[in-house]
This record gives sequence, structure tokens and C-alpha cells, in this order.
Amino acid sequence: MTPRLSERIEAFPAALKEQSELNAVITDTSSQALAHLDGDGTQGPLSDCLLAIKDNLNLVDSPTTCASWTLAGYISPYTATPVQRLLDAGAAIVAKTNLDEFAMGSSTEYSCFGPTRNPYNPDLVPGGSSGGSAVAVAAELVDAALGSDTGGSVRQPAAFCGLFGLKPTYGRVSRYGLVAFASSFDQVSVFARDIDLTARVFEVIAGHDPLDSTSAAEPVTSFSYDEEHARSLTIGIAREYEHEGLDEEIGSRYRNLIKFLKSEDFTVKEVSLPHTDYGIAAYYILTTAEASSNLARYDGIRYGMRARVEGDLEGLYTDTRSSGFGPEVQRRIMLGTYVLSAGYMDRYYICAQRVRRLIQRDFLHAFKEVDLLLTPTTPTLPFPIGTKVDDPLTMYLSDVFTVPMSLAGVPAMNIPMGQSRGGLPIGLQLTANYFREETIFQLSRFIEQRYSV
Amino acid sequence: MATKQTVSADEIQKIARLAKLHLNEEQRDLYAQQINAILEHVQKLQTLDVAEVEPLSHVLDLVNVTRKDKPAKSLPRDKVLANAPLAGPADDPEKRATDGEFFLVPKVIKTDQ
Repeated sequence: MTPRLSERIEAFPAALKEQSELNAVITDTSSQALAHLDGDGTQGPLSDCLLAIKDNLNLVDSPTTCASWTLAGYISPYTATPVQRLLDAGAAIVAKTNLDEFAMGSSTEYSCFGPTRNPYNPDLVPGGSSGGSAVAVAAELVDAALGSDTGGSVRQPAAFCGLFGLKPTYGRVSRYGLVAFASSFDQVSVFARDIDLTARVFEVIAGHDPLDSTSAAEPVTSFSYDEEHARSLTIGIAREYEHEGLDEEIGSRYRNLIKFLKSEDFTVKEVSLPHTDYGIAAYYILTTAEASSNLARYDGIRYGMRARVEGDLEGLYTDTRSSGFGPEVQRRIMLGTYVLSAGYMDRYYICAQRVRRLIQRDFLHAFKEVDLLLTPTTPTLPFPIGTKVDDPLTMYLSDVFTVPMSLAGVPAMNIPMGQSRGGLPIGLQLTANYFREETIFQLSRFIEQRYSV
Repeated sequence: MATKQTVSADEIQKIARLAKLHLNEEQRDLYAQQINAILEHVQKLQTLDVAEVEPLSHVLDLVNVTRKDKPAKSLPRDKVLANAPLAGPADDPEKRATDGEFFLVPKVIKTDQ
């Protein structure tokens, strides 16, 4: 018999303590979850599920830190729409998880609460920026978790922690209550250990919200596995992802899966995404520009941290921002300010927007021929803590396989593909056309059932 | 690392001022070096001929959404002021920068008296 939800919530603090060296969680919200539990909990598609949310999503009466000193002392007066939908579906939210400050990073090392560690090897990063959510699910502290994915912040940690990690279509999930980083990219995303729960959480949080005018009105279909449908899907593989920097074990896992799908009579086609290599450059211009604007609101006037200065308002702003933001956030604000500044706007920002259209066209062309694209998620296995933290460009380049989908806004998901010889998780990525998350679930379920590594 | 100097240390200082950040010399030089390395990488966009390509600012074809202009509830004042920054005097670090009605800020109007 499975334990009642209340018992699982009560057991959470002890479980968390046992795994405290992983540093996955910023705030334990289990006592709040327990206090709000109504008898055996609300009946719904997520009854009996323990969930965690990344600490850039608001939950009423809990702190939202974004892993930044900037938000010290802030207690959210409201709940984000996707979080409210989880609660309405019967889930208990027991933790708010660690992240790179304001979701800027690929390793969960840029946190004012210190790095999160990979449960497969605590000397390695779990990926980022949603590393805390990934680790909470991988270490079985919770059943599923929400993260946010701007350029790979859910897919890459899912790959590094052996999980399913879905970034839905841009606009699929309301962002009301998600702290903004780069508004034309950010999307609330899902981690889970199996495809059914990934799909179920996605279906709960997806759909239009009047409180987010960028959320899409497209109807959300309910996933039910249909092997015949799965087998009818055409799979595209792109030679641009056979990258010279691709880890040899990830490459061989990738080629083996392609071989398997061919042996199962899937139609596998070569397609070309010729502008893949320009993704990182376009992405880091556009997202830093958007971030420099979004983070202008942190001025120490109405909430969060205020530096204690005697003097004028200008000094208050500058001292608050300089002591509140960590180095990576400062770097990105400055890069964004630079690419938007007079004289450079055309050369950098507008040019990157033009390249973004070319990358979108690459995907639109490919999806005329295939239903899904199969690629690696990351070029490397999880890397050691501390090795990239002082070299931002190298850190950025680790997002090479995930940013193109973010630039285009199409849905993509990491599927776990077993482990390397050294026992580290390997992940591959499935990408679909706009609003076709369901086709990703179909093929993933087929692979989950039929393919053994 | 031999990185091309696209942005000088002085320009970094200027950008920091625009972004309301204060940098010491060490930070300025480090950020200058790192930002130059990133800018060198993004120069590869200049090799594409994109003059005829329309810039893409938003991936979905969004239309402006308007709603009826009717009053709705917003957060109550006490809830909003409860989040005022912790910026009390040294003898009361828990005090928040509010008088219960407004946020408190340093004086912004200069007077002769």
C-alpha cells in the first residue's frame, strides 16, 4: 500500500536532511503543504504527488529568492499560475529549489546559497540553471518538479541527472508568477523520472491564462500512448549535431538509438539545420539584452534588498545592485546594456534578431519533412564543479544543442539514455514542431518501452 | 588568452554606469576581458548575409491582447508594504523602509534651507 500523502509530506524534512550535501533545496515548504492539506488532499490528476518548484516561481507566503541576495527579505504575496494549477490538481509542493542566480547559468554554481551537487557524483555539476529541481527529482525527494528553460535550463540538467525534462512550446505555459529573465525565451518546464508523469504534469500546467497575454490559446490534448501512432512518426537527424566536440560515448549512444529505430522500421531522414552553429552567438546577445531590461526593476525601492547608504537615490540604486547581484548576473546585464547601446544596436541586437529568423526557418523547413528531430542534448557528460565558473564563454558553449530550439520556440525534451562507462547519465533530445509536445511523448514512450541501452 | 579588444576598460566603466553598477578596478578589468572574449565569439554573426532578413522579435505571431477597462482587485496596501526593503537604522535591522502608508526613500528634492 502506498503511504498517504500526509505521511509522505511529514517524511520530507528527514529525507531532505539525509540528502543535504546535495544542496538541492533553498526553502522547505512541507509544513505549509501539510497545513493546507484538506483531509487526504484534493482529488485530481496529481493527487498523491510530491512536487518541488524552482525558486524563481512564486508560492504565496514563501520567500522567492532566485538564489540572489537582491531578493533577501522578499515573501511572495501571490502564487504563480502554473504552481496554482499543480495545487488545484492535488499536488503537494514541498520545496523551492536551488538555481543559478535569476536562472543565468548552466551548472547551478552561480547561486548565493552555494552550488548544487550531482547525485551521481557530488564532485560534478547537476547542470543548470534548474539544477536544484533536477536533483530533487533524481534523488527521489519528490516525484516531479518545475523548472524554467530559457536556453536549455531544464533539458541540460535533465540530461546530467538522468531524467525526462520537457521544455514546452514557447507560450504553452503561463508565466504569471515566474520571475522574468529573457521574456521572448522563458518557458516553465517539467522534470520527472518517467514519461507518463512528465506528460501529466505538462497537461496540468499548460493552457491559456488571462493573466499572461503571451500564453497561447492552443488547446492541450491529453496524451494516451498509441504504438501505431508512434511507429508512424518520421524521425529527422541533423548532421550539424555530429559536432567535433561531441563526447564519444554520447555520440555512440546517439548512433545506436538511430540504428535501433531503423531496425524497428521507422523512417529516419537526414535533414539540415544549417544555422545551428550561430545559435550561441544569437542567443547570448538577445537574452542578455532582454535580461538587462528585465533586471532594471531591482532597485531596492519597493522590495528585496536595499544597501544601507547615506546619500542620494542614485547611490542607493548603484550600491544595492552592485552588492545584490552576483558576478554572472552583473556580466550579463553589462553585455546586454552594451549590445543595446547607441551605435551598437544594429551590429549586435538587430543582427541577432535576423539570425534568429534564419534559425526558426531551419526548423520550419525540417518539420515539412519530419515529425521529430533526434539530437544529443549536451556535447559532454556532467563536468566537475569549479571548472567553467570563471570562464563564461566556455560555460555558454555547453548550451550549443539546446539554444537553437529556444531561439525558434519549439518544444523539446531530454530523454534519459542510460549511463556512461563511468556511471554518469547520458541524455538525448527530441524536438517537435510548435504545439506538438504529444508526438514527443509518443516516441519517448516507445523508446522507454522497447529500447534497452 | 589573447583576446581582441572590442571594448576598452573605460567603456566597461561607462556601461556599468548605465546599468547602475559600481565596479572596482579588478572587476572592471576582469569583466572587460570576459566580455571581449564573448564579443569575439559573437562576431561570427557578421559573416552571414542577413540584410534582407526581417528581424524576429517574437516566435509566435502574437496579436495585441486587450481587455475591458474595468476595475479589478489588486494586492492590498499592507501586503505590498510588508515587502518593503529591510533598510532600517543600525539599531533596528529588522525595520522595513515604510511608514505604513508609503515606501521610504532618501530625500530626492534639494532645498536651500
